[in-house]
Amino acid sequence: MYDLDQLRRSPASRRSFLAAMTAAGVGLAASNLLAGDGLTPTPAPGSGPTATGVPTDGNAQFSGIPGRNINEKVLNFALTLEILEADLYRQALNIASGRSLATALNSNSGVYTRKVGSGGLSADDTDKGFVFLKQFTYIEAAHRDFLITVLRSLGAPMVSANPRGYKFPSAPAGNIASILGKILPLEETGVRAYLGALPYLTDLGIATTAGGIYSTEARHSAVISSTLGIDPGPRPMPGDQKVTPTYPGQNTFEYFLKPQTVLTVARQFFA
Amino acid sequence: MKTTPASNSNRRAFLTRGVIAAAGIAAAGLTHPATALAVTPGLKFNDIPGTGDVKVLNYALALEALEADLYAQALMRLTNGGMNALGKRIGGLGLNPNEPDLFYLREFGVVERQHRDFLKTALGSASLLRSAPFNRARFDFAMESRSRKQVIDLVYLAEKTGVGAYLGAIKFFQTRTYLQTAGAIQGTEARHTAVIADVLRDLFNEPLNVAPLSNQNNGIDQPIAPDTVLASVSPFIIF
Repeated sequence: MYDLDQLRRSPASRRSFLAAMTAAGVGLAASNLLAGDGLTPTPAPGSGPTATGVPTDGNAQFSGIPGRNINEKVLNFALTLEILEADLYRQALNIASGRSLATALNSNSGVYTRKVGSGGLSADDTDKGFVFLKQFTYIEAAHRDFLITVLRSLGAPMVSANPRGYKFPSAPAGNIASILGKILPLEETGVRAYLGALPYLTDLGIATTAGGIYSTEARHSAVISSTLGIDPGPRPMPGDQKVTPTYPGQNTFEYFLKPQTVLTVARQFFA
Repeated sequence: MKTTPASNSNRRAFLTRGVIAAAGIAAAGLTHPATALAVTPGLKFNDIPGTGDVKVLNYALALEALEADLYAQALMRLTNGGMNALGKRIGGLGLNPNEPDLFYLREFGVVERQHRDFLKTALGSASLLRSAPFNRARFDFAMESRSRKQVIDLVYLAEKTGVGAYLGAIKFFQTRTYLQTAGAIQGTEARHTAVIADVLRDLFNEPLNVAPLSNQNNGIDQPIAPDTVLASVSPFIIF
């Protein structure tokens, strides 16, 4: 296990911690990702009136995702991820509160109390981490339900949950540090998924809403990180793509992943 | 890094009152109009130079310029003081550099400056910072009379406003060309907002949530219309 104080002090420890989390949580075939997909990043603003940062590979990137148009496909792509996130949060909250993994989310958040140890976090961060876990579980469920409502109101075809459910590729240990460490890659991938999908939307109203979900995933990622004693980010992860060729600092702008890459990541959480 | 932990029961109670508190802070932040010189009447989106996507990017630049200067002045106030661009002396509160608020303000201040410089460079000759009256804009946050808590409250308000401002600007884009780049900035504002909310709760027991809860707009960040944003920041802008 990692010494959190050491993580705070030592960039090298932070790097190895992140690498371990990435390996454990996201578990990507890094070679696939690092190879990239040959797509050029969005040009910087001001590169002229002919600048086009709008991707044209929508059909390929959202292949297999239902929808009568690109906006519905992006919404279903988002729903695919929110269903997954909501379910893994439910499982994580069950672990943290000593319930069996299969227990459905209780409509009353008050029934959940922490039944696991800190895993090396301070008492304050342990309590805080559990509060975040509980809050974010209900928030991700709300995102899922909201997207279902939107798609239904559009009369759009809709993705359904994986019939066999979802699982962490390697189960979290029974402590808050480990549980948050498994949740963090989900949130960080969510951030990258939304930012990667955003430029495909032709409906700017839907883009506003998607942007509003995206930024909450960024908020969650930031405070889960700081609770674990690591920088709130953005921090580059394997496979990340940039919105402009050069970032002045690694935390100047968020990173994104292309939708097909995200779906590859997501499949690793399918039971 | 962490100091003055709130008790759990306090924290839980605070969590349920987040919305009310956020509104209260917004009001508190804005009841300190800088001076009679502040831009009046308040700026409108119409006043932002350019058309189409350039106008939206200039709007973003205006906010980033304000945020970057806010961080610079906030850091003066929390550390050893200094003089702002208006020539106003700001006394320093002499905080220990390892205090969490100062630690994160340093980090985020650099990022906001990078956002400003990025947009300024990208806009080139179309940048609002090159056209009057914006080229002589200065910012007065009454920093010299703010307590430590009031400094962080204002930074929190600015970041939180930034999150909503970018969302509210999306529909004014004429093309989708810059949607992703704007989004990549907005996400960092969201990270900053969350971390500062967390710090304010740790240090001052402020009843803030790090993100909208499930019963607040389905846990989704909300857009703020440009005119609303500009009305709230105009009291700090001096031409």
